[in-house]
Amino acid sequence: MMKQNALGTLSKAGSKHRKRVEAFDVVNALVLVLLSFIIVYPFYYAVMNSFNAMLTHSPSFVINTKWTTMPYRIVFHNATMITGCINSVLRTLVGTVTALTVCSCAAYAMSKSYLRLRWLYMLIFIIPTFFGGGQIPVYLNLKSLGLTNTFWVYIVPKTFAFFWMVILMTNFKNVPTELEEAAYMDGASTLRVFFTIVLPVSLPALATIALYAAVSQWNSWYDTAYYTSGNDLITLSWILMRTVKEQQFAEMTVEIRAARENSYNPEAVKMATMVVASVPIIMIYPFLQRYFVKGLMVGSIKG
Amino acid sequence: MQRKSKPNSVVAGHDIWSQITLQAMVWPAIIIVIFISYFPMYGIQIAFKNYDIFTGIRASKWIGLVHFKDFFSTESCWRVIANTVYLAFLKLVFCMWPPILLAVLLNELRSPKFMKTVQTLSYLPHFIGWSIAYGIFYNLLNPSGGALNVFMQKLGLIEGSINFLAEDKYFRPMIILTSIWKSIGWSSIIYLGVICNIDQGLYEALAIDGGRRWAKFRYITWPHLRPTFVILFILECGKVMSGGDGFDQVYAFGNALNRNASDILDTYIMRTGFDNARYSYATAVGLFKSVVNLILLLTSNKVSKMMTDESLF
Repeated sequence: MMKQNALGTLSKAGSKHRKRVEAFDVVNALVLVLLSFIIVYPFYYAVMNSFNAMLTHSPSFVINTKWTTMPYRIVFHNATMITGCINSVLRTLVGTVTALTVCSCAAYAMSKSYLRLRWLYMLIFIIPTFFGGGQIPVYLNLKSLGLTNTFWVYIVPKTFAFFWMVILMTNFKNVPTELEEAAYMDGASTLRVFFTIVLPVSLPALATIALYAAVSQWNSWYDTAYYTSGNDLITLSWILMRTVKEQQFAEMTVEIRAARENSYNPEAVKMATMVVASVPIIMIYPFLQRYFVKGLMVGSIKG
Repeated sequence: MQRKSKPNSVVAGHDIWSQITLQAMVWPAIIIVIFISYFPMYGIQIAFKNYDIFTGIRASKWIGLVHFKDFFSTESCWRVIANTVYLAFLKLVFCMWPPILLAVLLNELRSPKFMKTVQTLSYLPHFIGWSIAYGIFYNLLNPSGGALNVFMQKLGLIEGSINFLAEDKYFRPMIILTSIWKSIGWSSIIYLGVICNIDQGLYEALAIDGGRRWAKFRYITWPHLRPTFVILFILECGKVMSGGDGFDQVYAFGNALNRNASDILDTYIMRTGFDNARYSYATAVGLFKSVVNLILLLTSNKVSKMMTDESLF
């Protein structure tokens, strides 16, 4: 809402000085329309090709000549894809909840200047953001902790991020102290104040972190590729990465010939897979939109 | 009761229970950071050892700087480093200003509805990972019937077809352009936030003096955006040896055909470390990478402090 108001006053202030449409406004609008088109077109082309019934690339880059839903039926009849979907959804849900819990609790404590040893905790949190063990020691560590080849290898390493904590911390610092003081006067405990007073007024920041965590979980393929083996823990984004890496050289080989004989276009199936993998995470945005832009801005400006 | 009797002398919530609660709230994060981020630092020692899976980290033999010497004497070493630094440099030059430009242009729009639409559309690519993005571009750039080739053929710009994904010379432009495509909208949020908070009186004062658009940007908008830009720039400098944090993207877009341009330190580490199981060697290369990154971050921070008064710490 804050942003809306700021923008509102802005456009009013602007219009006072220039009522007529200048050449700049036209050019600006055209540039932004073109930019939006360039950003959206690759998505459109992928969706279009996922419905393509031809055995080759769709000959037009505007619209398909023949349509089919066959690629989607093939995708959803693939057992690995189903496992991947389930794992991706699970890790996104569990990962988002744990990250929100751990980060917001830590951020609330760290936002209080009377937290003992606060400086030490800050140091402990900040050092790993600038220096880390590197890929191999990280892997060996996860292995010795017994996390590799378990579902928790997706969750534990992504429960805490310094940047997320800072956004939440800045937000908690901006919660009016009178609100908290009043609750304390009524005899509420710190935990109660946190859950009933602080969290409800911090929804924008929480939504921002939820969005960050969900996007990062959904798109993570690296951990599936290097920390797990077999198909039990496979995720959608690793299936995709593997598919796109293989297709570079598999083109026009056995796979394609088999596809031709069964009269479907493997390219269309790949695009259908892409669409299936992108729609859920893109759908998350409209739900969180009304919170997150504000949350992100508050955190980033002060931080 | 006690609290109520002297509300001004003891600040509410500062008692011992409150302290214990707060400590209990921060410790889960501390434990996770220690286990996940600090434990691996202990493993760095295998860069100076001959690590063997069966003897373990501690019992493996110390061999000094052998792995570092090995790395710097390989043929591919300098090519990989050059690729990494060059890619990061290109990203610093070309990927940092488009979000600022977008934020400024969005702010000049008169219709809030139009503005919101453009914003929402420009965020789309942020939500998908590089595996999906690569799949989409693979399809778009395909030499046999992909939209871009067909489009360029119809315009008569090219005769045959170009395989953008399999040639060295197209690799870097492709990485830069797709980077901009993916991040321009999302990165503009932070700048737009700053612009929205600029005092409108400043612009009005300038407008009375007959200030034009460029003057507005030069003397009001940019000075407000500069602190944010400088901070992001410093952070980006600390990622130079990681190719501008581009592992996911480079892994997706890189292949054997454009290896001469697409092999960066991170892909090299993963290949030698995981595919060839040379743990100690890859750790040594990784350590070299992190140390240089840290030095670059601290240096750029210091330089920025002297030149612009802005710094991380």
